[in-house]
Amino acid sequence: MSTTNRAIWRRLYDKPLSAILNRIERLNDVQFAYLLLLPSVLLLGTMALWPLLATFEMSLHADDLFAAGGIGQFVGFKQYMGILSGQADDLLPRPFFDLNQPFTSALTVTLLFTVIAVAIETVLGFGQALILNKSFRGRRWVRVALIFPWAVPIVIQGMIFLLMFQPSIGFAVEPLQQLGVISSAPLSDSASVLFIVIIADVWKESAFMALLILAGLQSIDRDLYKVGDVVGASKWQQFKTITFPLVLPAVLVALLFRTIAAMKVYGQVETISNCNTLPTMSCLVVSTFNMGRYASAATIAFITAAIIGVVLSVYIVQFARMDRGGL
Amino acid sequence: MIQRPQSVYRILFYVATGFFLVIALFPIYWLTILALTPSEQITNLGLLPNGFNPGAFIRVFELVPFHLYMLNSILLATMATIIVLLVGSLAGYAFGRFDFPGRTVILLGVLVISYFPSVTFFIPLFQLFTGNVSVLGVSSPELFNTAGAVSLPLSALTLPLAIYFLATFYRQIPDGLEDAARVEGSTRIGALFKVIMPLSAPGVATIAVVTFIITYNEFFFSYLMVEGMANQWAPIVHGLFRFQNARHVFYNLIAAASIIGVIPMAILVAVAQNKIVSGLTSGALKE
Amino acid sequence: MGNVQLTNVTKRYSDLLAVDGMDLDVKDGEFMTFVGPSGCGKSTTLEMVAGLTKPSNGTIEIDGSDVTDLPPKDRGIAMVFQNIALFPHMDVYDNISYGLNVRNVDKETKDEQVDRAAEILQLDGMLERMPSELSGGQRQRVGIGRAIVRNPAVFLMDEPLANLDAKLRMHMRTELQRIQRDLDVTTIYVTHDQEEAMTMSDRIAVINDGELQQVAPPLDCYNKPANVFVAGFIGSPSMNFINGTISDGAFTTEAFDLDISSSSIRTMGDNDAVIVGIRPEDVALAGTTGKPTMSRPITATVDVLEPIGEQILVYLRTEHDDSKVPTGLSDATEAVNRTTADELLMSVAPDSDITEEQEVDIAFDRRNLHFFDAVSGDAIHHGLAPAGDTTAETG
Repeated sequence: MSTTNRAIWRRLYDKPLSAILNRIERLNDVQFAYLLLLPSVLLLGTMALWPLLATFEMSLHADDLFAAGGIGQFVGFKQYMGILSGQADDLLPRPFFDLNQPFTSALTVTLLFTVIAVAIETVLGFGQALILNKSFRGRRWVRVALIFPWAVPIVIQGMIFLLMFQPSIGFAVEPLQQLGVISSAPLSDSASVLFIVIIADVWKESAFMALLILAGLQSIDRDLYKVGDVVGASKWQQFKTITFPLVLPAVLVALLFRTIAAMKVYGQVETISNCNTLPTMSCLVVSTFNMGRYASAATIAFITAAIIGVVLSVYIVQFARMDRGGL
Repeated sequence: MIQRPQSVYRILFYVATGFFLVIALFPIYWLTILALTPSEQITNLGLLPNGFNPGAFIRVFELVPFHLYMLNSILLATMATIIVLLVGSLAGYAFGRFDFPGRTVILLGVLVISYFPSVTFFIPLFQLFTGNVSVLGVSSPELFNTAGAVSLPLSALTLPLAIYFLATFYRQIPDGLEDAARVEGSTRIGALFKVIMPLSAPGVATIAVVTFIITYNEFFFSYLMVEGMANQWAPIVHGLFRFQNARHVFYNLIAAASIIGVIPMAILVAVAQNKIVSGLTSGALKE
Repeated sequence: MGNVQLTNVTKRYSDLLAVDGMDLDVKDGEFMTFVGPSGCGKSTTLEMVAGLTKPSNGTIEIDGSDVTDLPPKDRGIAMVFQNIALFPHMDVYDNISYGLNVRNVDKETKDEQVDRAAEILQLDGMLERMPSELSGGQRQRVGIGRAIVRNPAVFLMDEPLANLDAKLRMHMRTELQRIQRDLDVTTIYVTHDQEEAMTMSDRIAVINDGELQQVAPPLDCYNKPANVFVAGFIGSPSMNFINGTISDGAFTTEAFDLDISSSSIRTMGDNDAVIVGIRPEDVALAGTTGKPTMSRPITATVDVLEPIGEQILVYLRTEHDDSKVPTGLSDATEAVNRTTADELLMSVAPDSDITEEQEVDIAFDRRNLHFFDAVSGDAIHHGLAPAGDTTAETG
């Protein structure tokens, strides 16, 4: 009995499966490639593409706190106008762009944060990468230590600097206050929080810069330095004529990655202080959403994406120019 | 005379190395000081602990089920990593070893997705996961406060780069190996998983490690897609916030929990640092 | 110009002796080749001459002055690398003039020097190309050009042709020789390819395990190898080695005996561990050569035939008597591609009428037999006189 039973089960189970496998074997290469893409398309379609389009659609509507889903009637790009011109400022938790209050308007805060943090990270990351590219005793552990901050969860990174700048306990607070760098309540003052968030970001993300630049350094042919040694180029000349031009593409890639990520900053702010004190662009989306103004939140989200897109295209133009220059 | 520039470089090198090491590791030292100092003595700390109270590392688990938050984080990251490796391998294989109409356009489209900030996906996904989206009268499953609400968006956001890297790795494998495997009786999909993936094992391992680190460390969806209860898949983000939002803030416990929360990452970096660096070298820059 | 003298040069890495007490004198204008298997220490030695690696011991002199502690730039050397190592972001002109730029040479001298190099190397009209736009041979020439403009006393070349395809390699060999002759600069050339070493050099230095095995003109290494290693390394296909013993004026192996009484008995006393070396080209079908120097024939069976064009390689099995296998073998012989008497390689003319599994009579050219001490690996004697009229050669 059991054998026949099993045979029936096997036939039921096996047949469709082997039929499918057979179909797959008979596909041509193009059909097979599309089939391989299907799972990715499904995942990205539901989790990324659809939300993106839905957000955009939302951003073309007005807020309506009482309507179903919180979305009012279709208004086209009116929301964009209102937010960019400042007319909508009264309805938002913080203005999107206002030069009169650079530390509490989203665009200025985000740009300040991005430019300062990424600039410092590039310099430090380059230095770290140069060290990690040397071979010396104990390099393995120095490498582990220097890469480590990159692997620290954002919330823990935030907690570390929250604790370091907590007035009652942090050792750093008093000296920095006396130097006038931070205020007496550093965790609730916009300029001070910006300073602290930049420090926190530099600590963690220099390591990421170092990783990418190190990858660039390691792909440089070591024999080029022997050529330099034989002709008597000094270490500085070798850096100038060999290392720097050859690692530049990797540095630009690292810069691109970091700039995009920095413009999305959210978690550090939420952990160290709050989105009201330092309203970065991502912060402003979340706090507007929390007010129930879904359409406005969607609009700010898309403006954020557009601004990052502009920055991205500047880099891409730069890459294209370098390509033509033969680099 | 000739030796002098050599030794100047060497001294400079050691000074710089020391400087970077101190910067990288000091925060962890600072956490340790805080964690070891008894709660009531944490005021105006210097650079040494004020007292010795290792009990904080146990108290962490008594006050808040921090171990459950840790477990959630690890499980969520594992799920995302598995999804990314499976789905990403199939797509990376297609992009890396097949030529089909629209290949470049689709790859660019996939990469463009990774540039959009999380906030542009958030509102619809939130509505989707809270059952507020209906398709043909069927409302969406309520994934809010479940593993899917965090791991699915995270998989989708790490997927594009994984696809790009895996495509590069798979492209580097000599042509014709799948054909050989198929002649030997393997199926097409079987050839991918039994021949191509093992051959690029170092690359695949790098992607796995990096995906795990990125998803374990993520903040946005980890914070906003669950309410914060340990039994509802909340990860360490919420675990740590519970110490902060308690009636009395125990700084020593925040420090202790932070140290505990970072241990898995420290182990991963120590074990896999070589893979991470070499994987990035061969994956990102050999186009 | 420049002679190079190495005295007891040694390089030790923590647990590895890479180069062991090397003594060598490269004469002015000479083309000297370091040849040996990979990892034998030839490249390390070259890097020590260049100053890229510091010797643990010993001194290096160039043109009579001690340069052991000088940096590469002050040694009057120029170097060409295996992977050519062109700067990918500089055009041909900048690559060739890199060394001059570093020394801030004025534009006029630079142009002059680069033009001269371009002319010698036939690179005119390519000075503005990027390395990625050059063929393998052109890239190689740019690498040499970079060396030429420095007017070095010594050229150092580390396997410069290893990455080129076979045809281009042959061509560049002659090119390199021409350039070296025209410039008349002392050259030290490193290769693992014995054929390259044989065809290009004035003298070759055979290196194994960090030790110098023999320094001699190419044909001397071929005709009078100093030891088993050199004998096996130089020449292709490799020499046959057969173990045997010497006693009572006869050399005995498991397969055949040779009478050695007439010529060389004085240099070869009784010895129970001897290796005889016979090159495949010195084995012939009995009676086909017409030479009076051939040994008495022995019988063998053809195992496999390998026609390779200008000759046929014949793998032979010989009848042998296991009881005569000699005993005193040593490590020195292990490194060598040693054959026993039951597998012997012969090369014959392509028109030879021979089939597999055929039984044939073969003989050796007595003038080209090489005898080595099996314990030390050193050569004892090269070449036997024709067999005496009265003495039979079989046992």
